[in-house]
Amino acid sequence: MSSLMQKTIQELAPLLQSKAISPVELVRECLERIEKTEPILNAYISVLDKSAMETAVQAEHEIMQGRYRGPLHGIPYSAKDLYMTRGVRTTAGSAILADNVPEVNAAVIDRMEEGGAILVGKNNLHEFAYGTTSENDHFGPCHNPWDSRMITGGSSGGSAASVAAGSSVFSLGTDTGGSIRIPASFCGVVGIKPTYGRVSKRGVIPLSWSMDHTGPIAKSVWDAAATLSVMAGYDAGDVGSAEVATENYTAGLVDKNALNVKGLTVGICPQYYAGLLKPAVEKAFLQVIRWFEANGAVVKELSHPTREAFSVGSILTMSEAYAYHEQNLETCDEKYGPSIRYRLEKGQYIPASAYVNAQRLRQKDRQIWAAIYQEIDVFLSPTVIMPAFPIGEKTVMFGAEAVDPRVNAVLMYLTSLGDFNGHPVMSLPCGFTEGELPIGFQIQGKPFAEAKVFQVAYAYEQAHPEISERKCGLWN
Amino acid sequence: MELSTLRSMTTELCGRTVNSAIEAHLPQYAVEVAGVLAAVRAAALTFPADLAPASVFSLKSEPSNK
Repeated sequence: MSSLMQKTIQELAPLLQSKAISPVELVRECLERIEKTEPILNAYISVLDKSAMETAVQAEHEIMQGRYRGPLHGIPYSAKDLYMTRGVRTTAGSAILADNVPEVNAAVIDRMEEGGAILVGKNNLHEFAYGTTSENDHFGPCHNPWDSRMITGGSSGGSAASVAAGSSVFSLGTDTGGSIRIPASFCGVVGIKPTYGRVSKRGVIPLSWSMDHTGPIAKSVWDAAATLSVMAGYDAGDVGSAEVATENYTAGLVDKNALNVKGLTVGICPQYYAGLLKPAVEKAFLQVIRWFEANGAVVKELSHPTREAFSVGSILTMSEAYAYHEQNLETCDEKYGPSIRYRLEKGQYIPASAYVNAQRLRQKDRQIWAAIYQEIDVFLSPTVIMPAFPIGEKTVMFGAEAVDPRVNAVLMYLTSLGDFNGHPVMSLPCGFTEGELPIGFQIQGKPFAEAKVFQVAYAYEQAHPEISERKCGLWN
Repeated sequence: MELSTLRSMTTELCGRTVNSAIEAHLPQYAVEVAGVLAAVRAAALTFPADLAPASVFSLKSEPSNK
């Protein structure tokens, strides 16, 4: 008999609404699943068993009374331990905040409460979200559910691992250079970084204010759409929030037979990653392109608008992250893990003119992308140039160069561009290596065109059940 | 980039202390920072003079949103 925790929101919500199952039953299964998988995964920093069960009882009562709030009502979820939670410690994966217990919730946590979702725990992550491996020096590394010797990717590594392993139904992540999409790709799940400003960041510990995004990690495209529909919306308390109408992103995903990619113009840019992709990634992405072509999409090869964005964009994160951490670096630097401390200190050497010119390049980049989107509907690329590698691996190959993945941003090579231009980008699974490690690809859309991204992704996902329905070995 | 320049930036411009962790990494910082600054300088050479920075905290007024 399959576990309820293998099911998606799309499958669970009707069962909860019709009272065929109870939130209490579901949360209990979730907590049992956490207990079983945590010795392997280390995906959680805190598990909220008592409060989750109390909330589940309340949700059950509401649903029994006919007060069903929507598709997230009664669904157990987790949040990266960067989201402030009232009365629950929020560590950012750091010893510096080991005893930090906020008095308020992040805005998105409040939205989840309003939607009736049940928080079961806070996920492990790369310290302060400043890294892509989720090898946490204080709480231990996150382990990949497909092969526990491998990294999950990061920085939202615990989030992606918990969703893939069924120790949460969905999770909230953050993305500054790829931190939702990289672990989603490595763990075989779906993650979307929405348009900058689409989802409030109030109450989420910042890494880089102008590059940070919040978004969901889920088992399926529909689940990600349902979650983003609750997360999204203007928040006057977030200086970066955009006053742009939101929508129910699942509305366009109802009739899967009506969804197709015929007539779409799809941009790709192979020259940007020529010679950098691992063979399994290259093969999987080539099959993606062939599928789009075979189904009537026009694939258009582009020269990359701003090749400098990868290196120049790092100036923004370095400068902003240093500004946030400057005081702690002077007074309690020994509490930072070695790799993050190394990266943070570098930010002090960036002159103001370089920061401003990086923002000017960003403006130029956005103008160029706006022109490109006059000719294409979506832009596709692999999510990461390689699949997951072993925890503790000293170096990985970036073209012909051996680099330390903790110091070099090699895993962000294809994802950071979306944080730089602010467009919505989703990663979804498109294949596996011979060693059964997932591979993902990205769909980028126009600013605030999340609905289009979901529709294209859903069409691909529905046509590839052999990929989307595959479960990791932890279910055996 | 001279290491003494970085030390001066830490102490004089940032008001910080050059602790042992920073000192140990200065040679690597010198190489990496020089590289990234050269990249942004090269990019800036291609900018039209009136190119304003991106509106840091909003996409609302970007042309791509119209």
